[in-house]
Amino acid sequence: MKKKLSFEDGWKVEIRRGILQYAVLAIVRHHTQGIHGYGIARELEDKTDGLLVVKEGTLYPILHRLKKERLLDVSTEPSEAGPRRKVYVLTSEGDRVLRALTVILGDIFEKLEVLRE
Amino acid sequence: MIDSAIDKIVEDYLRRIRKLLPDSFETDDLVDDLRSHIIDSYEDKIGKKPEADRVVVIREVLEEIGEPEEIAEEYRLGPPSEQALERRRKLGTRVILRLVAAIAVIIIAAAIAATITEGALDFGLTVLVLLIFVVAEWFASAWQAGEMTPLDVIDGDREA
Repeated sequence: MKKKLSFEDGWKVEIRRGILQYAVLAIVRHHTQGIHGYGIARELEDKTDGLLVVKEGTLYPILHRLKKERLLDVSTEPSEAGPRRKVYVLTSEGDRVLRALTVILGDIFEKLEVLRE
Repeated sequence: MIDSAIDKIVEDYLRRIRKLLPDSFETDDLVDDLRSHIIDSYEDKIGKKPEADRVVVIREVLEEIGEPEEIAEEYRLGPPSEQALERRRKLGTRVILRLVAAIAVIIIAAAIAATITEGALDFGLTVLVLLIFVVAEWFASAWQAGEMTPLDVIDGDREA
């Protein structure tokens, strides 16, 4: 039987999804030559201590969604392990959206800080 | 390099994911991405621990990737694509046309049977019996092929 999530765990799942899309765009922006899915998962793990990605496979539906929204583009690069592999790059629209989201997030945290005081 | 035992574990895992997702180009793309990720992660771990048991390592990789149900759930949380909606509309129309054609054939067959037997076979009862057979056969074959049934069309309308 599936264990019921605690309130805070459920809340974390809800908030994680939106933040994860932002974090993926931010990571891809640092790689102008493109970064593959595994690289994004590693950076997320290393830089957020695994807070954002619980299961690595759930990253791919998000990458596909961002691609469908034309915020990410895809190209390929040679791979040592086998066939050419896909790398993700930020589009100009993705860059614009990332900047806009950064402003929105800043506002949210600023207002939350006021609430906490 | 991935050997055949490891490859089988990976392909079984990817097949479980494929079963939970619609049969589409997007699913093929997602499965290809997951396969690349699994290979990268596996090669990375083996590179760090060359003496490790290959099967244990691949199980660890799949554990980190997540259960197929979790990945399918994340996939479904996104908005359905226009192609998927169009495909569902077409499929719904096909199911309704098939239902109308089946009822017409049943009525004609029951009328012919009643005429040939000069009323020995009751028309209403023959329609009912043929209807039960057709519906049972339809559900059985749709279930085997993973196709849509009239109940799915009704459910789809409710969701919409």
